[in-house]
Amino acid sequence: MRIDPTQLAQEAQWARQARQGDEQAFARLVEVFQVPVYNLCYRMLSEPGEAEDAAQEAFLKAYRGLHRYDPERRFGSWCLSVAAHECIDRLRRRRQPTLALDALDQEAGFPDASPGPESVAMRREQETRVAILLDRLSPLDRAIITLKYWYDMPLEEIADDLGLTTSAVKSRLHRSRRELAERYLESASPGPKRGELSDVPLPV
Amino acid sequence: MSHSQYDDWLFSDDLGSAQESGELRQHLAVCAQCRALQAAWSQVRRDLEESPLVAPRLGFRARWEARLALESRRRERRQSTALLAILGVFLAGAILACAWLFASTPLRLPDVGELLSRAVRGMANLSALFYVVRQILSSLVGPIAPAAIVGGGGVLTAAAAGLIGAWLLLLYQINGSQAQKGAQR
Repeated sequence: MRIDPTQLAQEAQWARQARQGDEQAFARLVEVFQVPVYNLCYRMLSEPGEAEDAAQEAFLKAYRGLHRYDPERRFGSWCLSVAAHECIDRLRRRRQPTLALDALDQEAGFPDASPGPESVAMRREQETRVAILLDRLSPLDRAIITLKYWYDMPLEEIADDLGLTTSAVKSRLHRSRRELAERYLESASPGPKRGELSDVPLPV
Repeated sequence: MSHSQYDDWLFSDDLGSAQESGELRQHLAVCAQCRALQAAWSQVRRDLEESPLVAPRLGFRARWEARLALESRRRERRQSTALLAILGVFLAGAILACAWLFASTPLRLPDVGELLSRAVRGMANLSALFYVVRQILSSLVGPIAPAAIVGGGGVLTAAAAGLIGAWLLLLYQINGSQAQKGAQR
């Protein structure tokens, strides 16, 4: 996330005004943080419609819970924490994975950095691969991977946001990376299925 | 060295010393499974790192503001409904209590002497109250005419009745407008 001091000071001021009941100040914060918060929801939920709903709900919860916001903390980080918890709750309520690849292709607002048809196709393929890989991780692990790779958050901050210890985040991150690599191998070749690879005795 | 150590290094953010790095390289040269895992993780990490931030549809802020307004109206409606319910329960309780008292007291007509006696006692109490109020006000702002105290008491009573009436009217209007909006939706 950005670290421009002027922008940070402006956000802190809007957050203070919002805490005093200024609805317009909070609406400006929504404008500023809509992309990171929506992206987090989209990466965790893998469905644009539900991601929009979750992001809106997260901002509502943040607005209603402004009295719990610590002004010493970066507002964006706090908002992401609220959104992550909202998505974790939604994922836990789901009975099974609901990855909608069609919706993912049609509705997601990917930035159009390279408009060539081949690049677009490659980008789509890469995004689909990422979504499929993330879709099978547990809600908490998905939040950790998202906060780590899209927001480059330090492990301590992720731990604070998710109410975990730093060592728990580190351990979960390690396990998730291994799981993602195994799933990638599974999808790339018709070889061993999930779980089989880790069961094979490794040479010492 | 145990295999799990290499596994830790494969998925670690920092590999540590050059010696550890060399040991991992040597292990990867002879272990096909670890090599495959490392290649897979490199690809996944590249995918994750290259994946851009996804933006919502245009007008996200306006949609959020509309949702906030809707949510606020619903909350106000819930609050006024709860207030009315509490008021209703209180009134019903008062009516039931009065009914119980009435039913448990044997019905008898008071005689005229008793009524007159009560009226005189009430007047005496009012007179004592008036005296106390007048003493307090006089000690605060100096001598006050009795008519001013009676007039002031009347104005205060009327104002209190007006405020209670306005509050009930406001609750009624909020409920009415919310019901109308709900019906329109």
